[in-house]
Amino acid sequence: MVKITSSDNQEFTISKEIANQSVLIKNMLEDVGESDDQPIPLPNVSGAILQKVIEYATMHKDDPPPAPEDETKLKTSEDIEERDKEFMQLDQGTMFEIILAANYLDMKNLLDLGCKTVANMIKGKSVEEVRKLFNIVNDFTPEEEEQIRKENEWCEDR
Amino acid sequence: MASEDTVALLVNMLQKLSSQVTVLQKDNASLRTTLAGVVDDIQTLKAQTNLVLHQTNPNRRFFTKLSDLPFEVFAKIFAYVPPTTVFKLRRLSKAINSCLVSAYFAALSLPIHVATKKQRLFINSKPDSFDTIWFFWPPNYQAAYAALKLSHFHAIQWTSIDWSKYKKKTLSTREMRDAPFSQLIQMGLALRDNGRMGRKRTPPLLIQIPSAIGYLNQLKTLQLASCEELVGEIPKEIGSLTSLEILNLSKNGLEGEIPVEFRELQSLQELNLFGNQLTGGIDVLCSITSLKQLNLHKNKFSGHLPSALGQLKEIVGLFLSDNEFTGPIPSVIQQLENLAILNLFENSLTGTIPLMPPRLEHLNLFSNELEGTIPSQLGELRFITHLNCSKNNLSGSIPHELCSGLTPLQMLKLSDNKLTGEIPSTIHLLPLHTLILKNNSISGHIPGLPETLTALDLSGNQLSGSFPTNIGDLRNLTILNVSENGLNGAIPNSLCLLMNLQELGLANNNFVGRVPERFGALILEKLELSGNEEMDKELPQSVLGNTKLLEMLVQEGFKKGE
Repeated sequence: MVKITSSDNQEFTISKEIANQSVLIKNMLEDVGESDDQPIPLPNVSGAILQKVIEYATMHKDDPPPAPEDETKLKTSEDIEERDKEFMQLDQGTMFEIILAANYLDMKNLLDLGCKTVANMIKGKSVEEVRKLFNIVNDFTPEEEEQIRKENEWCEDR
Repeated sequence: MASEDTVALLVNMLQKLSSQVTVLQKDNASLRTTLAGVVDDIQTLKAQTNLVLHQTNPNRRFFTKLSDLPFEVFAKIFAYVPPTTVFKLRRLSKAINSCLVSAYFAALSLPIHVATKKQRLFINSKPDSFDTIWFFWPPNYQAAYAALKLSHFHAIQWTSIDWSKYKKKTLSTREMRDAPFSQLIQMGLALRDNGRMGRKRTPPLLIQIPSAIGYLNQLKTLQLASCEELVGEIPKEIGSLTSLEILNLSKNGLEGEIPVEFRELQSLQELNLFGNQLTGGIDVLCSITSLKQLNLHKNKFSGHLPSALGQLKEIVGLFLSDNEFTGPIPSVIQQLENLAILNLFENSLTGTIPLMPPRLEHLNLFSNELEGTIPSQLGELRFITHLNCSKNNLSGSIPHELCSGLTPLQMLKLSDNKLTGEIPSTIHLLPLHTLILKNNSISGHIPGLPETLTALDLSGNQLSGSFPTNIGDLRNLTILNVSENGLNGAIPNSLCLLMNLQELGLANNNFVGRVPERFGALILEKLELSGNEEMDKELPQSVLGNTKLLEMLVQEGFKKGE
């Protein structure tokens, strides 16, 4: 078993196969050695988010090792497992925190899942809809925006 | 449980802290260490705020936002949005814009959407929808696409498209065959939108040749032609495609000068730039000594024709017509031993016609300001079939050498000059189908003419005497014009044997007698017969049944008999 602590000092005890899904933790474990009983501090992840991440890792602990990358096969944001879809039914704040955590913990599958989920929310929406959905502030001057609009004439809704 | 007030307080505190940190970071570098601790606190607070916000009201805006994600994460997110539409999101914010136009994003996005499987085809003559959108992407994306998807091709031939591929029913077969590259580009966009041509007529978008063209370094053939919307300058990167043998950028809207980098194209055999708005001189091209065909017709090139043209030892076809070249035709032309076609028409060239190279087949000097005589050396060219020196200031007579029967001349056009003297009597030895000598000052009789002629125009000269006796043997004639001369005698009856004749000009001569008896057998489109004062204006019986001919004759001042 492996102990990890969140930024707000919550301690979690998890199995090694769950811990190893994070390349960051895996590398740390290899560095400090098996016997060390000290918890691994994860100062960039809060307890609440770490709990969600562990939930995901537990769900996927029995997954077969990933097939070698098939260069010829195109990836798409549509191929998400049903259970993962459910897992990502979250508020935006938590979703982005999980993506940040997955990036920090170096968990490729979770990061991909997060990115695909956000991409699916963006697809098919207009610029204005995306801005509203994600509360993105338009920081262009009207001239700058006009310039981009001009360069982008081909992909604006014609 | 936290209330709305706590949340508001938290958010407020955080924002205050964040802004103070920014100010302080700017103010004093020495404070950074101290600040690191504060930043950590903010991280913790942020996470807690999110949690509180989540527990109190899941529909609220959250503190962690899309814009808080690091660059590489948002590149990953946008990489899943197809490159046909993702670039409209450039307008979202500055950070997102700089992400989407980066090379990093291109490297991430392309493998997701574009198949990288081993390419077996080496010729691309049917651009797919990504190929067409290539012209519109930001430069970094164009470069990545060129390197990934186009760089293995030996030939890119995008001039027209086989529309049947798109199963479009509304286009006619002819449109399918002739659909130019420009329609293809617009079609590519339409296909992106909804899989079919849009109903809305939108003005066509302008495109340029991407600099990323330089990545296609396997290319032997590059054709981007027949697209009015392809504008701007020729990118200098084309100069790095050193394997190119054929380069065709004809019939586009290209402007500016030929890049000096073109001198690197040392394998180039065929260069077609005709039908653009290109300017400047052509000196750089003279160092491409492998050139066999150079076509610059219909541009705005100017300056003198360089003597360095003499370096193009392989050149077979030289098309410099319809430009703004001035000065003389350089005498080095004679040294181009393989030159078969020399088109210099519609420029402002001056001086005299120099000696021509031995293998010349076509020489077109139409509409320049050339003077002096027609060199007799042209008669030594054993392969010359077409000679056009019309609309210049040439003087002297038609050299006898030209009509010695040694040259296989099929077309001789010398109209609108100041030529004098007589038509050489040996002209019937030439296999001419076209003889145009109008608007000169040629005198004497019309000699016997070759029976192969289909077009004969001797109008506007000072010819005298009667029609040549063998005129009835020129059965292929469709145009016969001898108006504005001093011809006399009767119009021969044998003229009525020319059943292919469509245009007949006999006006303003000194013909006498009546319109020939069997004249009514001719089916003419055009007839000029007025200005022959001595002619009997009464028409023969045969003409009366030929309504159209009768009408033309009446207009020319003739009248029906009894």
